[in-house]
Amino acid sequence: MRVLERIKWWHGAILIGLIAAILVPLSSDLPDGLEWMAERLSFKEFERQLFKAPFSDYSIPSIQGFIGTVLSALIGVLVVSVATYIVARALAKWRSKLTE
Amino acid sequence: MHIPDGYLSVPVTAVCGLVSICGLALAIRRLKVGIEDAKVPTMGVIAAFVFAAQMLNFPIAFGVSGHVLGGLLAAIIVGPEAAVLVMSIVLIFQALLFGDGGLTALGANVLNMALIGSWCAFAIFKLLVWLLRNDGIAIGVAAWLSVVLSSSACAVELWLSGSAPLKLVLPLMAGIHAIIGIGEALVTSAAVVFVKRIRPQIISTGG
Repeated sequence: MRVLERIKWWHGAILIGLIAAILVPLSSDLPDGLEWMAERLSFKEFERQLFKAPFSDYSIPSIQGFIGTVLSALIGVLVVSVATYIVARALAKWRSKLTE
Repeated sequence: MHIPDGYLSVPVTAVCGLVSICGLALAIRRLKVGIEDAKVPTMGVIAAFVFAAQMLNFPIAFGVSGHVLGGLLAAIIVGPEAAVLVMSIVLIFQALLFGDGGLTALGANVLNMALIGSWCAFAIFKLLVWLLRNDGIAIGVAAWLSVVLSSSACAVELWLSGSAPLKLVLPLMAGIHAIIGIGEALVTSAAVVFVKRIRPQIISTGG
């Protein structure tokens, strides 16, 4: 298990991103529980789009088909991972300053 | 179960937003001093996992799909307070970049999936460990409950908003997610076993 000790956190994040990118074309297009119910109980009509998200519905505007979804999976995983790392790091610094 | 904009009434939006902000503030306050440095990189990896897992929908029955939430898993690995932070960051990016979950519904989504799906689920997990003296069963049951409770909270919010009658929305939402929760229980158990094998030292035992 010596190799495992040398693995950095971002190796893990990239690996998860790649696995997600491979699996995401297999992801089901069926509505999720909430969407399904919104259609059945007809409250879907209340849905409002307040703004257009840049990668709305996990797609990339100029890239058609599943390649857009694959790329948005990769982008999403990496952005979220790095953002969490930065926020956690900042909080760690801030907390340790408070306790000095 | 990411709630989009428009489903919730103004009072429900406001109350959920307030509860989420307080919950998040409490979680940050309670983070152990300095979030032990080792935990920071693990939080980055867990965020990647939660985001990826929530993108992968698996079909269940009746033409419905569901995905793993990852709230209990995150809490077991980095501790419940750090998990609330991770889940909230994931939810914020899902809403801002991918339009998954509304901006005004962010408070409700944080309440359902971070505070209930992660923090409450972890409390239930701890209680079950104490009652049953069996980690494996406790993980499975708490993971299943995390999805059912999270979706039930979502149903109650929809009812309070006047979007749907409680006697329909609660059983349907909880019923569908009782099936999705089986997937959550399997993935959470498998992931904990996997992490214990490769990095036993990072599993959070306290909380």
